[in-house]
Amino acid sequence: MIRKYLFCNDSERSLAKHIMQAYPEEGCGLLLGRADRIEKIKPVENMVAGENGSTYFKIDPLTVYKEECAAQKEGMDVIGFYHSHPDKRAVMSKADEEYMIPEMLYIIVSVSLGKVREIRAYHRKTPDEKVTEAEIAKEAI
Amino acid sequence: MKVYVSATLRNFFGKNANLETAAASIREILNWLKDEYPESEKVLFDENGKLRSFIRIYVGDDNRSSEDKWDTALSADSEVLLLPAIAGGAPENDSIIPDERRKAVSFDDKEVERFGRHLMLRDIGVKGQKRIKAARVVIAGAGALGSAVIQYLAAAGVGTIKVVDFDDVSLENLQSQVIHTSRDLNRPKVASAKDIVRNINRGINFEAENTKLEAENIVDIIDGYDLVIDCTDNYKARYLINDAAFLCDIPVVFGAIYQFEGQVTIFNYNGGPCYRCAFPAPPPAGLVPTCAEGGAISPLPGIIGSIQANEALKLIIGIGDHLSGKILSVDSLYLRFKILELEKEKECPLCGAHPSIKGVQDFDYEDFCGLKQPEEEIPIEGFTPEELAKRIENEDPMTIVDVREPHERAIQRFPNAIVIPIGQLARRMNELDPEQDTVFICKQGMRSILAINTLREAGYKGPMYNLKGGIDAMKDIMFSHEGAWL
Repeated sequence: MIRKYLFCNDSERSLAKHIMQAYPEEGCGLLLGRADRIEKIKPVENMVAGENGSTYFKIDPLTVYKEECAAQKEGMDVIGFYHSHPDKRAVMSKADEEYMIPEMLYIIVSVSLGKVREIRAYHRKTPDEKVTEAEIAKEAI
Repeated sequence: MKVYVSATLRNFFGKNANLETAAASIREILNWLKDEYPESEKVLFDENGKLRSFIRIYVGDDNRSSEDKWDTALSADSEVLLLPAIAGGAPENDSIIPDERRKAVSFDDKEVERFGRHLMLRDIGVKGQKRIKAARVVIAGAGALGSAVIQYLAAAGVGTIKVVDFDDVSLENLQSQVIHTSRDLNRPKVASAKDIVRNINRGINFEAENTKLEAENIVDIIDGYDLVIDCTDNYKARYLINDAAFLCDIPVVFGAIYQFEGQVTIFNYNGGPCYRCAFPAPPPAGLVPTCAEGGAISPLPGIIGSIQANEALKLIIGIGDHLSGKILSVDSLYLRFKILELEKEKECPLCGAHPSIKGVQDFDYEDFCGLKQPEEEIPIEGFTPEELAKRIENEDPMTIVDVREPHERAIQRFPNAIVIPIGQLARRMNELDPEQDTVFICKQGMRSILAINTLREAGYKGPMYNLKGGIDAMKDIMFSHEGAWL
């Protein structure tokens, strides 16, 4: 079955904005919300920016810890992560797959010449299962 | 001691954030977690018992993830954090050409000038053009689709091009097969393909295979190449190419045209669907005419073939989105372009979970595509064009039934034939005289076999004959009473 997620409260636009600012480096961040609703995005520092940040990203585990505690106070969970592939397609790379936490939503954004080309979402239930593409839509207002 | 579980991992720890344990070291904590939450084991450890790449263990702000720190005793008031490591990277190389082959390629000044308009594209550049030059591509079919594909891939600079076709150029090919000209009539199609490629770029390594694709030769022809472009016009060749390409792990860029419509898709790419997922079985032989029988508007193969060449280049360079798992359908008459989703078939006999086709030699393509006379069926008797001509000359009593469509008859009328399209045969069989021989004719002698089988199924008992090779084969017969070509 295909998982479905919703971008709520302009979260898609904030995500695209962050990715375009980060270009030509990979931008990354947390997806906050509840269940299948992305209420808010939280841009965080790409720890490898300035070194090989155009092809890799890394988030400090302690930053995740800090941000998830803050989100909890607002009644939200970390439901997934996003990052960009500058000048590359929005498909899972081997490294993306290796670091993919089961039951979390992963959004990959393809960005080229500062413009968002494609936004795709991925998910898997267990670490050994094949990654499947999830559906992602904007919440109807 | 307290163990904090990150929200991102909590699904596997009974959704608990804070756990209390008597364990006194990280190793003890991990063992305790495995016992307490059996579900968590496969999330924490891989099949070799190593901590997963995405798990980090902290004590306060100190990273203790590496195993040599797991046996250090912890004080009872320390807090252990189980956190996620979030990382990843861009897809290294989407191209079907390995990097080492790209790196082995170089350009001279002439090539830099020739491919300038590729080199200036950010998405192609020197790296992309090197991949194009390193690429080895097989083009199956030097007909209408092949004409477009061969010219564009040669112009784009594909380093090695192999063209497979068994046919010679005939006059009717010139309406759409633009690599062949009047001067090439009766020459092998691969010969004019070679001329055109050499005229475009002598640096291309061109390989010609003037042969028909069969289960015995297909693997030898495509093995070791990066990509196959299917520009054939028949089901047997398509299944053969698909199966052999899957078994040799080569993607296929597929194109097909019929009258005003065309399709393009990609098979066998990165675990995507194959031709058998899309078309598990061919239609009954004779039901769907090829372009030779059904016709096609002249520029259509140019459109479809150009899209095939474009898809091929994207796979070679590793850019953009492409048609794996999707079919592009083009209606040139009403200008409708649609993209349909194409799913991988779990039970596909070739690429599914339990494959039954493990080699092309073990599969009977002739039988599968209905090209064999089934043994249990009564064989169909037929006349050669000469035999039929003789019977006509002798004025032997017989009924000739033309099963072609009206627009086909407008091109070439068959004298003294009654006209019943295939769809109406069963309904109108009382118009035939079972006491008299009936001869069925069509363009190439395939649909007439279908007509005879249809009538047999409908219970018609009279003697029926097929004109072998159809009216096409009869073209060269001259009748004395007409003194003209039929």
